[in-house]
Amino acid sequence: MSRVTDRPKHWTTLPDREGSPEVEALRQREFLTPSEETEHPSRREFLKLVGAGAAFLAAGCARKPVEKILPYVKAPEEVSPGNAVWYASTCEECPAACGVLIKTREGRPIKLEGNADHPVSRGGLCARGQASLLNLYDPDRLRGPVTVDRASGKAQASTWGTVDQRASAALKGARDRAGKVVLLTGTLTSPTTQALATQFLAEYPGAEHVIYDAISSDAIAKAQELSYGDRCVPRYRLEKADVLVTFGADPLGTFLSPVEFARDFSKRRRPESGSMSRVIAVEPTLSLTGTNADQRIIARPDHLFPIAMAVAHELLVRSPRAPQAGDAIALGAVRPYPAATVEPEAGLEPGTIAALADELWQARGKSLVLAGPQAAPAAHAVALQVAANLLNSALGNEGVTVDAAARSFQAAGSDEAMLALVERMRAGEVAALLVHGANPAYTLPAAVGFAEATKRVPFVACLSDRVDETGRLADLVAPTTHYLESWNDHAPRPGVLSLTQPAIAPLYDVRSVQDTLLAWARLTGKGPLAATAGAYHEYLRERWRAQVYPAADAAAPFDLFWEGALRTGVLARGGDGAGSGSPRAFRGASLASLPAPGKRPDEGSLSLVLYAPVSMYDGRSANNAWLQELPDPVSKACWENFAALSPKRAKSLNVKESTDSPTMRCDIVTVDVGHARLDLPVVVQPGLHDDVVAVALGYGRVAAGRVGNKLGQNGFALAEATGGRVGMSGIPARITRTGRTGQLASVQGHQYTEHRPIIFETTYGEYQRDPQSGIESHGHLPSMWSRHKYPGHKWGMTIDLNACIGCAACMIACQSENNIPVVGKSLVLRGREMAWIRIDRYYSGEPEAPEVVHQAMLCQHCENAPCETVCPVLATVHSSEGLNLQVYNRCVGTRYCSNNCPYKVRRFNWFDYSDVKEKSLRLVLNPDVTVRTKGVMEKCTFCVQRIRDGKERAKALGVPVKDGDIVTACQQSCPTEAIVFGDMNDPKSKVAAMMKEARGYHVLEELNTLPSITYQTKVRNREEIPA
Amino acid sequence: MSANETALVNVTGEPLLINPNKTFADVNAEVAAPIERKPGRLWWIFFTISVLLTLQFAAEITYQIIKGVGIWGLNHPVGWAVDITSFVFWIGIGHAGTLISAILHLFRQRWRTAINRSAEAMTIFAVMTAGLFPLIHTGRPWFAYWLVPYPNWRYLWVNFRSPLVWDVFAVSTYMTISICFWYTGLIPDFASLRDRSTGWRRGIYGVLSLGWRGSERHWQHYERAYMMLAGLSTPLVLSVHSIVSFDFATSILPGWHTTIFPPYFVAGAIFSGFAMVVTLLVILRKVFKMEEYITMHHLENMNKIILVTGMMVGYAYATEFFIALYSGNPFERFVFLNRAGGPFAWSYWIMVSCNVISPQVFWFKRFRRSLVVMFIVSLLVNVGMWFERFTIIVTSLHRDFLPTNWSYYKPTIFDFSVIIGSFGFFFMWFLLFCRFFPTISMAEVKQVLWNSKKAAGKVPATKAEKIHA
Repeated sequence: MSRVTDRPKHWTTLPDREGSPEVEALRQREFLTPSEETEHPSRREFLKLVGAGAAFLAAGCARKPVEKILPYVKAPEEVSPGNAVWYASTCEECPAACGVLIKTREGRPIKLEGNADHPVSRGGLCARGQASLLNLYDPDRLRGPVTVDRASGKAQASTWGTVDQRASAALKGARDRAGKVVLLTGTLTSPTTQALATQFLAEYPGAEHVIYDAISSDAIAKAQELSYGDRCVPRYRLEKADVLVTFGADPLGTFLSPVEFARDFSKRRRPESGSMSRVIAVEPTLSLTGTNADQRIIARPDHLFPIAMAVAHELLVRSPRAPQAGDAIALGAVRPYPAATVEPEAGLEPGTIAALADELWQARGKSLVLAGPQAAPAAHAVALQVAANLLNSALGNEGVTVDAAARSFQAAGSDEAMLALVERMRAGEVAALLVHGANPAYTLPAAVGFAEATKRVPFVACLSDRVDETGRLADLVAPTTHYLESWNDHAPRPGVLSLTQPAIAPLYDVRSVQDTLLAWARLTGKGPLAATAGAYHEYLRERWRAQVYPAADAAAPFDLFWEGALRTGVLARGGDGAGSGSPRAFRGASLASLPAPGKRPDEGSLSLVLYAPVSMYDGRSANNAWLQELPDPVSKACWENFAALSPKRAKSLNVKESTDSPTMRCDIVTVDVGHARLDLPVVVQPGLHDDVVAVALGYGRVAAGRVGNKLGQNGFALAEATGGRVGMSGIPARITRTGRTGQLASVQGHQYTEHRPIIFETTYGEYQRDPQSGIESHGHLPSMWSRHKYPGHKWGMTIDLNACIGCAACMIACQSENNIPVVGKSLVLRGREMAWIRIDRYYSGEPEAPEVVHQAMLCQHCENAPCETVCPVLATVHSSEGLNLQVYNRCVGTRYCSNNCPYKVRRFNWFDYSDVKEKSLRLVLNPDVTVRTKGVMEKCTFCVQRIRDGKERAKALGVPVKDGDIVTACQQSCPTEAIVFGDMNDPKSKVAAMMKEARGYHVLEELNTLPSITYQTKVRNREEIPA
Repeated sequence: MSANETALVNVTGEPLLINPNKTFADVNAEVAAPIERKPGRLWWIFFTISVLLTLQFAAEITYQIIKGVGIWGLNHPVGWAVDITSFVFWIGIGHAGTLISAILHLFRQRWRTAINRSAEAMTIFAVMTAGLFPLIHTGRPWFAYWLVPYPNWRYLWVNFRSPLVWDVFAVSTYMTISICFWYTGLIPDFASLRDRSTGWRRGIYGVLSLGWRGSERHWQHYERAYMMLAGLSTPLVLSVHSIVSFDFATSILPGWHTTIFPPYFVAGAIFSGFAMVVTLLVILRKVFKMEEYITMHHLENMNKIILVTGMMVGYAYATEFFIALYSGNPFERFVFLNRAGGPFAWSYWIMVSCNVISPQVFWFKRFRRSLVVMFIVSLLVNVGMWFERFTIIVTSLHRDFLPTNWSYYKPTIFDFSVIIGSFGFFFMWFLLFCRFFPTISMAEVKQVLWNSKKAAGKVPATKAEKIHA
């Protein structure tokens, strides 16, 4: 026997024997760090892997490194770990100013929900509102003030002291030389901020506050001024309209206050209530409202105005009915627009306009004509609004569905003022420009020359959360807080006053815009603000003490009143039901200046329509990955914009797109409007006017951040500025093929149901004869097995296809609630998107004029779940409460469940999506929901964490779970209340009642999967189903 | 074999299976020759390629475990593609071995003797290769052992309703029986090798031969055990692929959910298995100069089976299509029309032309006996059978119930890597087998040789035979 020490060292492969660092590293780690993106390994990496592959088989296991967790040293009083703390606040993602409730856990906001007490949003919250949470944790936010080198646009980190000194010196200089100081903002719905801005500017002679909205409602305000002598954007009351006619307006999508409009709209769309509104959309593109319309009249943007006038012609001239029939100016204005002329011009069927007029007349006083402020060409934009005003007045809608008393403060921007400002800047008349809440360098048409004009302004400061396109032209950027870190108040309309309160201390060295203005005012030292002390919080409180509190007539002392207001988040004064009741008199004179009937543009020229998409709006949150990956509700494409063409036009131009074919390739075309051109991939969009090319705004940012930069092309560049107005529609454009193709990420593989039992629909007339009409049921399906027993709860859901407008708020709500990762364009192209709830959008009928239905699709929680039987390891199991559970820890990842799921609502973690590199983004995760690892299946859980929470709360109180205690995230955010969740075993629950309704059916019922989700048929308010 | 000798027939009227002029010692020497001499250049070339392919396979698996299954081209509706296609393909290849060893043995098809050893080896290596796929296709292969029901303190159990669990049992049983059967058959040959070798080789073959001395008693036990194992294996020929087909048949997916799958899969498996045996033997007899053992007669017989099973498979395709159209089930109907005319039509028509059309040349004796033709057809059949599984899996998944989910499947380089890697892995083992194990059953060939000698009148008749005559 030899000695023990002489024993040979065993080795299996050469790398093993030599013990290279790679091999050693592999030995040390139990799990190897993955990443989410596929890259093909390089040659070097490949060779490494060959070696490592061999070593891998031989190497043993090692322990994970120790990671320590620490408890609070001094626990904050209000925080008990594991319990959410909620704060009421106001969403500042757009000026609609919806009420939100901020859910915080251990001091960090993790979810936004609509505030049910808020009179504007009434509990719903749109996709962008939901996603604004992610902006708080955006790693590309500025972490401190910066100075910018104007020549290069490069930012240099600075300090508040420096920035404040520089700004105040510049402002002082401007003041002392009597230079003009301009504050340029987006719409400020905050009366206190508005007051502060006014006071701030008071010390500068000739100072101006210019309000500019990229997506502007200016034409409405202008037309109101002309027609009624009252510049305002009225409140449109969709819930009072039996007949709603839109002229290119998209109230359900992005116009003015979508959550409010969606809620009002849906109130009139439940046939069970005994009545149902009728919606007619006159529009060139297929807007979200158009997809939900009962009738669409497809017209070019330049024909919207003549059509509106022709409707007036019917009411005033052809068969005079309206009171304005006696108004000579009105008669003179409408006379050039008889239906007989307009219809052939606009390519409408004869009789369309007369029918429209009759329908409106029959619903007079209960109808609403709503024209999009940017739907018509710039030259017609105001005229179209005046025509709408004429119609509303003629129909007696003024004061009822068009409510100027409860006017909207949500859009105060003025194109004229903005364009005039650029002119003044160019003329060197502006000494200092402060920009906040607007990004004119990005959103103004290139032809306006904003960037050039800033060069003539001696001092430009941006108050923004990043060095955006405008910030690059500035001298400094004073970083602002996110609204979840700030104090503010909002008045979206008279009588509604809501508060914004911080739910977290500013993450970085940033300051709210109001605090920055206060600081600068104190440094310049002469204005009314110079004497104030304290932060904006004090200013806000003092203003409320002085103005809001006395008006509120509260019994409690101010401190209690203030706390109460903070708690509810909103003060609502006055009823919500009545309109102003007293219609304003329509001034016929406003018709006098209307443009002459337009000429038809030459053949072959297309009309460009730029529209604000649901996800990107005007591009303000382009760096928000949730929104970038949110598919467009109509086209279902994400991550970039495209040029939409009608099927016929695409054919005649010989361009192809194949987002639902194997290649997913689209031809890239050049959209040329003369002053600018963009190369965009083509999408063939059914329902688009043949003469129209539609391009979404909000893409093509260059200074949004790492997510949002260089995605798509900037549609604003194609806009035109004529006659003091920014035109977004009807811009003559030419399309040429580039010969190149590109891939466009679309989440929907096919656009028609192929007559499968997925969507059932009926008409309102049919529904009244037979509420079950439209449903093809196979009656009783026999089974060999006895049904499951659910002794306690049985959770179920109903989704009303008639209420679902496809706005996708539920998708972002779910993403936020359930920690659903974003995968990026490359993986969406490979069919790897992770959405637990998605909106399937199906077309029916002719591609030229399709009907559309949106269907929220999520795990159906089948009683006979096909996924459950095939899982080899029981990772997906049925609960005694009817839930189809997914046990992530047990999941091996065979994907058999997904293959066997007829609804394909399961999502697989192809890579490790949980490994988020940017630490700030980890803060957005909901600690109640497991972050899934690589290789496991996931899917909708019916928000099982919320079910647990509701049950535990009830148990702690010793009471049974009440209907409505448990609300899923998708249901909570749904602006139209299309989703109802509850206990099917509770006969008094809303969901049980809804399921009993005649419109209910199950998708793919004949598979006998017995889903827990009941869909309700789509009811279209039109007479017959076209063949 | 010279021309006049091939004209000789044995008692059953078939041509002689082996040259009656050979001695038993010739058989030993010639079969053992590849083991006893240094391997030739051709063997090294094949072996090097196989090992390299295996290494890149290992690299792919390592990379995949690090990154995730997402490196493959799989997507949302298409949860399985190359992985399970290759699994079913290799399991199918493995079928011929059992069929040749067990069923042909029970039916006293003596011509199997020359090919059964390599066919069984092929079975084992094919099942080994197949077994890799269920492992690596999972999202978390390090937990794949959870598919085995083992007692544990967490009281976790498998789902016996899941066909994937049935697979675990079916495949592992099949593997076990195949190895036992193969090894039992090898024992007398190991003894022969032991007797011929020296040094450490003698020791190893000595251990492997389990003390075989060729006594009457040994032979009696051996024959009985072999017969029993053949009996045990026979149902497995039907069961394994039936159960593999249940992965699809018990699902609710149109295109998967059909009752024809078990027999259709079994026929297809035998079909592909025989094709692979032909591919291998055509090479083997050339490389190791075994033409005298693996004769044209053997190959022709196998080609006949390929022709028959090919038509069975073709019949199944037609039936499937007919039932889909006849059933009135719109989902089913769509899937089949989509197979033949959709974006994966190329795959469907590769399958039909390789599996149904190409074997039709075997109606002609000239082609049945042409090495070139049979080699090409056998390769085509292998390609076709791979695409059959691909067609079934991918075309059914990529366009299922809800049209919004429809998608396409595009393989990545990693998908190709596992396909060629699996072939490398399989051939690596097979080449090692050729090098160290007798590729032809010497003991059984000697029995056949005796019969041949008898038919050729080279051995005197026994007393019993004389009386009979």
